[in-house]
Amino acid sequence: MKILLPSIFACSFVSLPLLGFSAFPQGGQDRPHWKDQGDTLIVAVSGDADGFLPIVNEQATAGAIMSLIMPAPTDSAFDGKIITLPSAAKSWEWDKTHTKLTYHFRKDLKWTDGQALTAEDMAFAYKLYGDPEVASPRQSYLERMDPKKPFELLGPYTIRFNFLWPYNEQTMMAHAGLSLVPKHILEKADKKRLLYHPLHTTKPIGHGPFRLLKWVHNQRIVISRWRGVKTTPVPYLKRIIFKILPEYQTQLKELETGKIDMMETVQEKDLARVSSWKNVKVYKRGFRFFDYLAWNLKNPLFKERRVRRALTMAINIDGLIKALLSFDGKVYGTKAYSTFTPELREFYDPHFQFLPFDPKKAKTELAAMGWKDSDGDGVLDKDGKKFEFTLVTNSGNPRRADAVQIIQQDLAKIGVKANLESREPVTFFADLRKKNFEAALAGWSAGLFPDPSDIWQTPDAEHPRLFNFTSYSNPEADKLIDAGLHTANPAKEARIWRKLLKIIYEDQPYTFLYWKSSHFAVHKRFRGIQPNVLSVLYRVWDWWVPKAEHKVKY
Amino acid sequence: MFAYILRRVLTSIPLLFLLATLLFILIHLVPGDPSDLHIGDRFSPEYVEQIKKNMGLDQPVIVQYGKWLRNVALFDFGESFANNRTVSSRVLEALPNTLLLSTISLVLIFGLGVLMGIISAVRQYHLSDFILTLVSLFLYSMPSFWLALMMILLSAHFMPSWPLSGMVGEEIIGKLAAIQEAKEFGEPLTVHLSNWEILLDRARHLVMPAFALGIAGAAGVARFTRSSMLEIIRQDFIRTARAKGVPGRMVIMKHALRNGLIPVITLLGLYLPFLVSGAVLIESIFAWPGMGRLIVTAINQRDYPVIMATSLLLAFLVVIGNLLADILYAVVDPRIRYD
Repeated sequence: MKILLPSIFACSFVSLPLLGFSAFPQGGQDRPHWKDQGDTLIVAVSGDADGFLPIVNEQATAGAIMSLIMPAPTDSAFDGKIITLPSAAKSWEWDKTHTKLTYHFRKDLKWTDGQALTAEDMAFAYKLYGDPEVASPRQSYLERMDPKKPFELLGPYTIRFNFLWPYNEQTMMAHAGLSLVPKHILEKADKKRLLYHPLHTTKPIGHGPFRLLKWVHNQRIVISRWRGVKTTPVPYLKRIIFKILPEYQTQLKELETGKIDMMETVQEKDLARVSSWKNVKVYKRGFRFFDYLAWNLKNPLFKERRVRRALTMAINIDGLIKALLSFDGKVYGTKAYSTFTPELREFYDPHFQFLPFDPKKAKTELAAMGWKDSDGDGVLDKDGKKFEFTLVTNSGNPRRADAVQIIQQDLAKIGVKANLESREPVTFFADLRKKNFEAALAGWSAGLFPDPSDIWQTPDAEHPRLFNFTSYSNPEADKLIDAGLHTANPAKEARIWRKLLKIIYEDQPYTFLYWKSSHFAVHKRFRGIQPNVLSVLYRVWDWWVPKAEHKVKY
Repeated sequence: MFAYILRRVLTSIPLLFLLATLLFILIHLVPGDPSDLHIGDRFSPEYVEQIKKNMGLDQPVIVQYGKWLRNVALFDFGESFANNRTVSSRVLEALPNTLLLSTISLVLIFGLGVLMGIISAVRQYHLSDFILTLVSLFLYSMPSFWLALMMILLSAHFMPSWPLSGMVGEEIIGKLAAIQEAKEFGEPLTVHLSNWEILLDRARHLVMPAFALGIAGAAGVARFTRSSMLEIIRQDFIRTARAKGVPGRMVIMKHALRNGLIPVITLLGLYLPFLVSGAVLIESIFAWPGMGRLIVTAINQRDYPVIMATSLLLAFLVVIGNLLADILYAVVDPRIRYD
């Protein structure tokens, strides 16, 4: 049977061959639960996607869907660190200097349109990723590759990446592990207008376990399994529907009444209630998010490290965790001491020595620095200036709104006056970057690759360090970061990062608050779910529903 | 009359121009710009610069303004910053959804409102008037988003199968997908979907948002109708009608209502912008993909072209709505003449 693609393709500047899908292998029968194959998963997402071309995609939800349509050449697992597994690239090797990485591709792969998938597609993708005219958000992935020859094709199925120096192996593989794109389609496209290419906006061509079936803007994105897939097993689920539901409360009610099967995030306060629903199971994903209090080091109040340490000692962080992240006798947070997630086991120190919560000592420390309440108004002063500042946070986050109030009270007890202000999120984030704040309560979603340079290294002409909001600068830390980013020896690297995190903690440019665990909820009929810090839909091709419990039979 | 309309239309042109200029200035005064959206994880400043250049944000504001004005005069609203499509296509996608929802709730507002108002007026100080007044005051003072959330909570509890959000139910979505898979991927076709099913599904999805959106307005219209009817009922010509033996129902429905509705009809013109702006909160809560949601998302994303286009459309409708209200006034009330 031959079917013409919808008209959007017919009138576009891409010419596509007629597709004969029935010619593809209908794989999957050899899978252990194949007799239970079928059913549909409905996932609620809070916002619409931007597009599915990995070269120009920015938005996270779209990125997660994209990775099921156009996956990376290698697969990943996580066990204290990222582990790379074969996929389209069936094997790889390093040279002796650990700067040259050679991938060997499988020879039997095809794109969903029937064209062969080779290492040439990867070379072509990297040409686009690295091209300044394309303006890919992932351009920086090529920063540590040889600018003259970042990669070279050694044959149709072999490609080599040339790095400038050896560093953390997982990070190197990630830098050389971006998703492939079909060369035969994009070759003739205008590279400056990839954002408007149908591959991005309407109909991606991939090689992954799913393909895009339908995207109704602001309503839903439907992906259907592709039984010709070879880079992953054929999914048991027949399709996944991403339903766009901006309101969290509506998502909860739809989950309760079985209209959706999955919520990507369930807030801590609702966990006990959601767990009690008889059709829903809650899964824990681990620590990816943390909140911190940033001190603007350019502000005379916070210039002295001793002052910042005193402020941290005045804040009851355990109390914050108890007040904000504990519900129904369960604690969903842990104290933070760095920007590295506790999930990165090699670098995490479970016995880290935190500064004590000791308001008395905080007060004597500040007094020793000359901060005393000389006029008896309850607020410390020095040379006629009061210890008073504005503590900002973003609006729309109840947890942070509560946190700043508790912190304000803690600080008031030692005579420090914090005035609270909340700013609209986009403005807040822009202000942080412009360093237009005195103290700010904000958060990070932590990456799984160790690279503290953007947050902690001193800016220079070449590296503006966009996320160094506090203007932190410590030559010793700078040196350690450079050293850490230049070693491929895991033991040595772990030593360096541990030392660095300790130095930064001693300096207290942030008062590190807490990591919070994230949770997602899925209907109980789905089996084979492996909760993972990497993504909520981790290995969704292994999810299955026993035939008798199938809800969607078509 | 014609001269009057022409005069009004001509004077609204500079008004709209002034509005557009003011909007442009206001939007550029709001802190943050669209390129902020693109600063996520590890984006280089060169990349942000490139993005700004692509969006034309590197040019002086006055140049941006001139370009925008010229394009708008040619009905070209540009491309959305946030998702690579033309502004007109995004507006045209959201507009029909909002029109559907707001038309239904307008019918509710005026249908239910006028009915409640008449009963209240005719039965003034009776129990039914008392109850209707209480109910309409209660509904009128209820924030609509709260009402919406309560409706969701209650229906989830008492009618778990009733749709809570969106425009299309899960079953229809699934069947549509199965049909498309059969067509495009050669999967076996096992389902049937009738237009009747689709229509019924859409109607079910409309009930809650239309009700949440319209009920407060209906309560308002009811109060309006009541006081207007009460005034009319006491007038001499009504007494005359009754005296010459016209049946009571006829007196109310024909003589009183026609006159009592004059101020209500003018309200209709003022509701025109509402038809298109949708309701920001209601659309978000019920995940209704309409104009309200489009506008809010655009504001959050600092998507200037979308904000400008939608605001201008609304401003235009306010002007037209006012004009229409004035004209309607003259049409239904022969005592009013525009010269």
